[in-house]
Amino acid sequence: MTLLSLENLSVLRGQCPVVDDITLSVQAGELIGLIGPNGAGKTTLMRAALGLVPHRGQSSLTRIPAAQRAKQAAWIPQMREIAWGLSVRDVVGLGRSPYGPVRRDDPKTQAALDQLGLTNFADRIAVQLSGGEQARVLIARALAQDTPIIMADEPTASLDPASQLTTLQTFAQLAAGGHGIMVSLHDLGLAARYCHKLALLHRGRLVAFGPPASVLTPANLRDVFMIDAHFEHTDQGLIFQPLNVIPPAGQKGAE
Amino acid sequence: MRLFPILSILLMLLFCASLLVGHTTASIGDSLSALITGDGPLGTVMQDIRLPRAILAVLVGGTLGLAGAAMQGYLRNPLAEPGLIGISGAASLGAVLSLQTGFAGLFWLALPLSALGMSVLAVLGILVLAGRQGRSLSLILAGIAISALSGAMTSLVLNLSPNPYATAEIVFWMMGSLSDRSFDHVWIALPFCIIGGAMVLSLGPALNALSLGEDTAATMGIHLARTRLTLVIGVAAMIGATTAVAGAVGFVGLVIPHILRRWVGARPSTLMGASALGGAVMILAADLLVRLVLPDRDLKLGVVMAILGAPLFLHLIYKTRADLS
Repeated sequence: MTLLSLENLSVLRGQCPVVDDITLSVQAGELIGLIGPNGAGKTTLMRAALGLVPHRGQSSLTRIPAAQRAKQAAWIPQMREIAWGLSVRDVVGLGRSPYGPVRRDDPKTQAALDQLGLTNFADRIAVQLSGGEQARVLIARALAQDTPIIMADEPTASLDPASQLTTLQTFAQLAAGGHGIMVSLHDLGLAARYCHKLALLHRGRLVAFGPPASVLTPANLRDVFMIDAHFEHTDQGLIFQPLNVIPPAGQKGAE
Repeated sequence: MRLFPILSILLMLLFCASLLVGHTTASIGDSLSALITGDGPLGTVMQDIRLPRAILAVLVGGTLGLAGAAMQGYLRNPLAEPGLIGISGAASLGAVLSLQTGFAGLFWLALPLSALGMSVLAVLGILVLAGRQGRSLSLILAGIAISALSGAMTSLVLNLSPNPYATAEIVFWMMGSLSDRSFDHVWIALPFCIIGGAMVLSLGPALNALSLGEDTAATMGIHLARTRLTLVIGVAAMIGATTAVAGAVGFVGLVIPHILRRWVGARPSTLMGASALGGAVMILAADLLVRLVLPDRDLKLGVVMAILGAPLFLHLIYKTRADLS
């Protein structure tokens, strides 16, 4: 079942397209990774899909009113912004905002706390937790919003390796439970291992979209990321390790 | 949450004290019966002087506390206060202009109407400057611009004042006071305070959601532009009206949410109601101090608030710094 479809989506900054004519869809049960170098348009694409920035083309989410959209898609921005000394339960409970007055004993809030293993932290002040724990709190907040689609911008940024793995495993479990999930990632190893499909963006354009093995090709890595890498198919999934930066053609000649 | 009943009881006690304290001394029983019957000179004092003064103290303090909590919640900044969007500065300019030109002397409504009129102009200016996007940064910048312009114009009026008496009158008015106010002042401010207060209180869920940032709030169904418009008009109605009748009183909107946040929790929806009660308590107490400490020297409410509020704020900064380190 298609949960999100983007058709010819473009975002212009002045005259310059930062997202350029992108068409893709997210199915229920899919974990989709948006990859690409800095400035490729990953964040802008997701924000446009959610109606947070003006855009051309179509997003199935922006066709519906904002109040309905809040019940269809949850958003986890890269900056882990939590103002004030709100408790973990308060932060997670805010996810229930689209459904009317927030109750502290809302069963969906409790379920989200349980699912992310936060029940014992529920009364702690969220901003006093570690970065990894705060990331889990914000995923639980998105989960409490009870939406079929969850989008996350760089959810593993500034997390230690264990927290990065836990975060991606959580998204994989949520996808297995029927959610459609889109995450932007810089770590191609995590993207290769956990995402069902990757969307490779370069200068605002969708260069490749499909299973990790078909997107992380030597040619794409060279042309888009300017790296070569080691690949290995294991029973843990596709293992990917960047090896070298490939200098631009001009510099190579100079050497 | 036990703080709400405590603040409510404190508010009632201070309200009663405000009715009983003043130049005219009488027993509690005589004062209360005079308040109800309105008979004799004591009846006039109670009904026409002390009752409107106590009601205005509740209105001014309540709206400053509420507006302060709303502004801090909206901007997610504990240093935000109602004056940040420039309405109190604009209302002061309106009042100062009416004093300077003599318009204030034409009829009793002239000064508050001038202040309210200038507040409306300031709101329009802020809305035009802040643009149609619902972001908070543009609102802060617009507020600073309007504040700076109002301050500059007020300085210009003082600078060009033809005689020292007019200057003194303006300076005293700007210090903020609740003395010599009547029910007419209450009737001017009350509708604006009720409407503005209801508008701001309706923003509780939106301000809670904004605790997680503007993008997250927007994706939880919060209409950012509508929230900002409601906040600006609601805060402006309250602050414009109370500045018009009592002058500019500082620190309440800044300090009260700060103090109460550690007692009632950080959720803006809860903090707003508590701050309204807390602000009313603080102004009632400060206005009692004005009458008790130097009853013959016409001590100004704004001065007392600054003297009380500044050290309190310094203490809070010290504590916050200690918590952060």
